[in-house]
Amino acid sequence: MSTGTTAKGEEPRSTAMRGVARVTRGHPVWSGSDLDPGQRPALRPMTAEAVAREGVGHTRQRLEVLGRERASGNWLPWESELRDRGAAIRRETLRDLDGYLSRLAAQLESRGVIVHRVSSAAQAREAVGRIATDHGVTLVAKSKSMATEEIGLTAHLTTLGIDVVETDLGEYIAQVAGERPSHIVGPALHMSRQDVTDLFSQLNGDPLPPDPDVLASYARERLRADFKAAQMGICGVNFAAADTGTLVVVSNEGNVDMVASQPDLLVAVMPVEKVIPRLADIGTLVPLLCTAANKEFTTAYQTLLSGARRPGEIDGPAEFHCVIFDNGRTALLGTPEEEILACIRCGNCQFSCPVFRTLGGGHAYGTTYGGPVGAVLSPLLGEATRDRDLPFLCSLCGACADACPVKIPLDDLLVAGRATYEAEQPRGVESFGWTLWSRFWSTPALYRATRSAARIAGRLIPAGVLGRLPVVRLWASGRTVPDVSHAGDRPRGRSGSSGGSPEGEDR
Amino acid sequence: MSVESFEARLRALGTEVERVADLAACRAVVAELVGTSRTLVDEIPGLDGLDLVPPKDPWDAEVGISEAFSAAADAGAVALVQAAGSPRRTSLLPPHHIVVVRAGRIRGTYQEMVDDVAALDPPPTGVQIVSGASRSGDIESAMIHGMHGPRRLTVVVVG
Repeated sequence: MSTGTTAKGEEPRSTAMRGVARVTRGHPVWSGSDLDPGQRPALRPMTAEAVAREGVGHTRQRLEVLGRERASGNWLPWESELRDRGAAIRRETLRDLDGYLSRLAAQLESRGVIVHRVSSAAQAREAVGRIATDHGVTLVAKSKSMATEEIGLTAHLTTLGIDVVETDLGEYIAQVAGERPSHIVGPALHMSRQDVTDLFSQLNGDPLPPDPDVLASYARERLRADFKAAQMGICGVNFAAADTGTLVVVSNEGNVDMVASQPDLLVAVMPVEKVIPRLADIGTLVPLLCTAANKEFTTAYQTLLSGARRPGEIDGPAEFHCVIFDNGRTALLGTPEEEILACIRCGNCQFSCPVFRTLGGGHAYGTTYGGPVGAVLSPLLGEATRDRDLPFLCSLCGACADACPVKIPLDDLLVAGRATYEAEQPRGVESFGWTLWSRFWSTPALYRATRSAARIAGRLIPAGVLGRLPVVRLWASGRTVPDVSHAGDRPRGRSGSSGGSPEGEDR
Repeated sequence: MSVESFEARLRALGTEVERVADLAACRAVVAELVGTSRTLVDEIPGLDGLDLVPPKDPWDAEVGISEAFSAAADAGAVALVQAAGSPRRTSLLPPHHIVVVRAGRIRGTYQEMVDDVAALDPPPTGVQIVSGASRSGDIESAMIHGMHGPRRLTVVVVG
């Protein structure tokens, strides 16, 4: 039940967002919460700007520390068992996703939950918008949810004149800064303590000390006023149990319990793959998620929601909606890409990824989801073929696949994503060049001819000049041109089998 | 055995632990912990009739008292069933939360505790699994206690 301080007839507005107009902290366009994913800058200038940004070195160091603390292939025996079971449960779900979803929806409805099954991101945000406007909502308290980021929910509700407040501390910091979350479980990981101090001092209008406890208290007081006054709560879903119709949300702060119990109206938002067969499966999946995400056995809270308030209960949502959206996911079923639907959003692949760390977090992917999971998933979402070039933000080191708690072959999917991208490109000079190369190197005589040509070129043309020739220049940018004047010569005094030479000369 | 490992795990998570022999001793410990604080208390069989000061506004409560339906030694976790007589606010709004756990309710593993919860038919509208006090590491990984929920958690093991 809502026990807001606002008098009847008056529209409650956010306390936590007061003073946000005073915030002048600058950030690049590609990290903004208002970035239209289809309109992001091209990958090359965006990533170049990211690695050159002031303070990115410190962010990278923090991410490296967090990456080292986590399991990247070094799973302990009990963790490996958990991982085996978790991976199996997720695959079991995907084998009959539609069946489990139907059971989930029926169970939810039997407990008084109003279920909205929609296809696109636009339909999902509009469904939530209609619920809010139908109830005359002016203030929404929201807990952390990547799904709501994906469907652009906050921006949509804001255009309807509704105040939306992120109540997870990291999400609140990002919202005040006008930025998207930079990591799946650590939305403000890209910011230092001093960054947060500066940000909250601007919001406050008076300086605050660089003390995390003081800064957190400042946020707590403001957000508590909004928990109290909000007419509607919005939460995400970590796992949705098909057998009991129970939605499970994990958190450390207690904000999920606040938004899911104090306002009269609750909307839970989830993409289709959050369903799991049985509630008992969280006995595996919760410790697996928490271990992978944060190196803890469980979070402080797991919030289990099974329907609207029943007679005699004095809190919990009187009206409970669940929006289940697809946004391109079920089209992946039966393809190799369906593996990405096993993801439980722990963010461990992001910590493990040298490219993600070098970029200072996920902003420079220009999408909702950054890092390996984002580079695989983002190009597959929605109807549009945007973001197809993201799999190139990858060094092919394979650390992400080792770090994945549900054993998604992220490295294979990244390679497949590159192939998809290439197949969609118009065939230009480069592709002609590769075709020609393939022809030559498929025939021994022509292969030997290219080596002779390289030897002659290497002897006639000085290395400095060679690196400036057309075509070669493209390759040589950022590389040192090797000495090719002995290309193809057998190493002297060594048998052919001694060292990693991949040449198939014997055949 | 699992009671001892439960207590050890709770302490490792920064949770205070009291071990008492019976409900009478539990009442005495709870009364001392609460003092004259404004208190929200759930309906707990055997613990009724405590002389407690209720808050005028639940948001101003200083202490909340709940009983665990089940508990897990390996996770240092308690499962609270939320229903009529045990609203969600008790474990959420006050800065100090006291949970009464009967020793017979303590399971060895998180999975066994989850199985207890999953066996409830019909499922209660809310179950909150709690493992330690409210916390956040969102400002440069510095650990903050009592972010939105209680900053102090006391578990009283009975029996």
